[in-house]
Amino acid sequence: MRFRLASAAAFCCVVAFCCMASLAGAQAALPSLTSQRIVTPLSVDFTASGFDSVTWAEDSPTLTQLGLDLTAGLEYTTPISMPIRLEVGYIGFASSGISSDGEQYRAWQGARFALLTGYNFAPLSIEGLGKLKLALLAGGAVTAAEYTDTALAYAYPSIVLEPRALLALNGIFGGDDTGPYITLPTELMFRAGNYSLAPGVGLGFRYRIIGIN
Amino acid sequence: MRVGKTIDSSLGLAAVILAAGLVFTSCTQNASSITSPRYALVYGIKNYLADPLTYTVADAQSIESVLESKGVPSVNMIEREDSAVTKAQIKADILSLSSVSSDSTVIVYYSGHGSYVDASWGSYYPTYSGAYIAPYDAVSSSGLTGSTISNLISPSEFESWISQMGTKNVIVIFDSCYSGGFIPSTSSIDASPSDYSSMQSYSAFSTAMSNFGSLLVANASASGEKTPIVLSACGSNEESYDGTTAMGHGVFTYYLLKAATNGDSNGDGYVTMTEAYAYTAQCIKTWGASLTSSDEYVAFLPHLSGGIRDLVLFTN
Repeated sequence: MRFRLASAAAFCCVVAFCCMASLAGAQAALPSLTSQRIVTPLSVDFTASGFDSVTWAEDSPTLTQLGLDLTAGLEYTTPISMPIRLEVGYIGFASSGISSDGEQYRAWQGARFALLTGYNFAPLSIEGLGKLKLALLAGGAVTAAEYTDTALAYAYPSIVLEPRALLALNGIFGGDDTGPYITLPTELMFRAGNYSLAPGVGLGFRYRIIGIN
Repeated sequence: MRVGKTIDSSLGLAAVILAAGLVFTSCTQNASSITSPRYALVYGIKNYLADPLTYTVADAQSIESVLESKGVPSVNMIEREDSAVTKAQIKADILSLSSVSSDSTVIVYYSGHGSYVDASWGSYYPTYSGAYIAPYDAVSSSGLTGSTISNLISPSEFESWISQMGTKNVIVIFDSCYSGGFIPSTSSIDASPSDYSSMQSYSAFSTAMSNFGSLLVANASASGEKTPIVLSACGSNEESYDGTTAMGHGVFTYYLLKAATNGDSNGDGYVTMTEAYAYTAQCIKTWGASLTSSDEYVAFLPHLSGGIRDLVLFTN
């Protein structure tokens, strides 16, 4: 039941975030007398990632946990190829295996908020198809979480490193910054004196907001 | 085509990384079985000189039996009842485990009276405040008196004894009134109400959101040092329920005993403290809801200490 509550809350956050992003895009492109299609500096995206985290601490076993992250992002691309990115989403990890002395790390889930920046590399043209756009992002995140199946609430910060490759296909989706992408996020979580390093793989889709001028 | 190779390579690399991770996780998670020693101290007090209880000794006997069949050798178990459960004896039992190996697990179970000394008692017993457990010698034929109150065991006393054990893998289970007072403060907030009148805040996720800042501060100041994992029958301001004839046990212990066989929610062969808590809490919710349409039964919901760590309570 708590899983559903947290999921529903995270989903509502994502929906609200997308609505805000759409409004922001619309505002950036209010129509004028001579209509012209413009590409705004804003894009929205949705990513689903899988993680395999390793948790460790002094005097504690090192154990791994599988996780899932569903994230909605709003990204502002500056003229100097430096994106500024906000993320909100659901994150959840299963409990770890059990060590030989009977220890385990608890499952948890929660809502994650992140602020990232980085660098958009020059796009690589792919003849006849479109462009491959590489980016490297880094930043910080905070997560409000609960230990699954308990009434225990907690929160933790983390740092995030996220290389990303987006494929913008010619003539599809209408923009050179729109398309599917693959990402390899790695998150280092600081959890009550313990550390969890969570490398993952994510797939997503980004839409560059188009306005009419 | 270049693009095909690029995309294929990226996806291939991602698939390899994910597969490697899954294999690593799978190996890590399935490789372990519990090989470290396990010990248990089990106490039940029914025949107090005043205010006797009904099912507490039965609770202790059944817990002993279940633990013996679920991973604790009888040679590593101490079970005491009634007049044998004095403050000095509990302390001696705990300190007798000061030389166990650091990878051992120690389970301490207590079923008996608990007491809460508040400000209204202050003028009589100014040095006492908060939740206590009441060993046999804390209760005279006149009840809790000035000559016996020093035999109450406070959370800080108990914690200081526990800290002298040779291991940090300590499980504490109290089926007694106000036992939530023995849950150590950690970087987590227990969203279960310590008093059912405040139950409107009963949601861990909303509690996390509404206390985001303070929880981040608590997280930052946490040392990561291992603390006992405590499961209590009720909150620090609530009374536990001694049970019904049909149960033959206190309500909390009745369902905890069932968790030993039914509580392994992920089917890995172990019932952890979190699983035992979740199963017991769910059963008590169902039981409570069948008795009354009000929410008063939440006073009998168990409480669990926080932290990222969990320990196995029952092995199968």
